[in-house]
Amino acid sequence: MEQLKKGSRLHALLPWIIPGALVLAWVMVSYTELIPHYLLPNPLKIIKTGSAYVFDNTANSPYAGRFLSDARASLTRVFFGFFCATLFGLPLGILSGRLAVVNRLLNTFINGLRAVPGITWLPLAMVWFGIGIKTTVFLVALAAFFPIYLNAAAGARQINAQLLQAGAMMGVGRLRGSLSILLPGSMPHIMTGLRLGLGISWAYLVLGELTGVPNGLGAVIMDARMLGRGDMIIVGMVLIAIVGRMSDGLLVKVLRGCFKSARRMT
Amino acid sequence: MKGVLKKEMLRTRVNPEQPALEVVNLTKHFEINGTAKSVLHKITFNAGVGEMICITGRSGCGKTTLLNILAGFLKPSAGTIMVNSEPVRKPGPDRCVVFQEDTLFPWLTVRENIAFGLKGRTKNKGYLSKEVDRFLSLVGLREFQHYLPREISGGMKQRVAIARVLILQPQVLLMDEPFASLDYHTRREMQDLLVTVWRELGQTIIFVTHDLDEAITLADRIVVMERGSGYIRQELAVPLPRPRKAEQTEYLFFRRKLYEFL
Ligand SMILES: Nc1ncnc2c1ncn2[C@@H]1O[C@H](COP(=O)(O)OP(=O)(O)OP(=O)(O)O)[C@@H](O)[C@H]1O
Ligand SMILES: [Mg+2]
Repeated sequence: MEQLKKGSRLHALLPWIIPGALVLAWVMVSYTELIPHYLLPNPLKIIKTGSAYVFDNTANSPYAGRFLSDARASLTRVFFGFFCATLFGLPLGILSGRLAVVNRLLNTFINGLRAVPGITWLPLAMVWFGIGIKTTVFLVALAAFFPIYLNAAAGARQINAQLLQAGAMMGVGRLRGSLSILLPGSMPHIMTGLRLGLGISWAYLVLGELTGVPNGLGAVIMDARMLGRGDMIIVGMVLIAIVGRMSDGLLVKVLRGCFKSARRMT
Repeated sequence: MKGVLKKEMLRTRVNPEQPALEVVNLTKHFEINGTAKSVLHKITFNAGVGEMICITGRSGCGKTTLLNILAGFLKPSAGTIMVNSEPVRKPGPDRCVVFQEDTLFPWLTVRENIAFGLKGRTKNKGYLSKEVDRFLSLVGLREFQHYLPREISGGMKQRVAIARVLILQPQVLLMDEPFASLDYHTRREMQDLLVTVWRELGQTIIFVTHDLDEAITLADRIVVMERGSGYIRQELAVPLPRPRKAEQTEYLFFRRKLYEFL
């Protein structure tokens, strides 16, 4: 690849050219009304709707001021789903990466499950759990489980066997060996798995909330569709992207704060 | 360097008559594609308390395999190994290993790596910290104590690897070509360091090397293994005073003799 001079104006400008041009085209299209507003809303309208949704008083319009309660509802669902996925995925993954018995026991089953597209669980989940938090948490947990499990297994498998031998000859028992050698040794993989899992969690959150729950960032999008509010749909999409991105940053921070290995090896 | 070591660390006096390690008829074969491949054949030798034994032999004669069995990482096919008259069953801190490759924990600093083994043994933080300081100084790494393994050189890494096991005061130290990847001068330095530490602490050391000069510089006795069939070809006592110089006529004599064996 030909090198680009860092710090040059071109270097700073380059990433923004395509988005900038697209927004400009969009503004022009909506002022000339080439495409009707209900299909592609005016960017200014979107900014207004967005700021009302986030900052305004609740009484003013249907969506005004709902952001905090929607975000709280969605974050709760993502948190519980992701938490369950980690609770099972991480220990099972590490065990199956280390122990042939566990690997043999689980592999066929988990790969079988993985072959079922996550979306197809939706009807069954609604039958089992009805409409509400449980369905969403179930979908999120199921989807996030696989990357967490698979990466933890890969991490535990690739660990240098001599590190474990070094622990054994220094008199480290099984429990301490798992916590102070296996876990940190697999940390880069574990971290990748958790971040992928959290990303997928947000996707499945939206799926779970499309089923008619009253609140949540995904629910708002669906609601806006029925009322023909394209501007609100786009606001919801952008906010989910932002909140998802922030939750990823938070996850990385928390891991780095809690584990030396996460700080020093990633 | 010597001043760092206190009198109380001096261990039971060296006594080559009293065996610290006894290996009797040790045999190992690996199963490869359904056929047994013999690697070690009826290996018998012993090491007295405080003795430095060098094991040498051509590449592939089974030195690493032997050491892995002594450490308890591998099970022998037949034969017995006794450490202080107790049979060896699994790895343990009475037989510490310095590996040929870098096996420091990459997520721990030099200091934390050295503290690792002792941390599992003592709750006394003050004692732990004092011990770690002592062994950091012993291997001359005080200024580097907060560095990560990837930030120090290969020779420093081997010094950490030695310090992290010395701190456990093992009775037997097993070293698998620990200095093979170092340059000539660093290797000489490390050999001097090892001899100094060993004379103060008095462990039994089994030192694998395929460098003849290294074997003659270090060993009380040299065990030469036969290529291919994995039996002991010869044992050679090296009763030279230390430090040993490569120009001494006796040294050259041993060198010639060893050369013939290989
Ligand atoms: N796990 C194993 N399975 C099958 N064969 C093995 C295994 N480990 C070692 N061997 C064989 O045992 C023989 C001795 O290997 P070993 O590593 O002990 O040699 P070495 O003396 O340490 O050699 P070097 O000086 O090159 O390190 C080799 O021929 C090797 O192929
Ligand atoms: Mg070897």
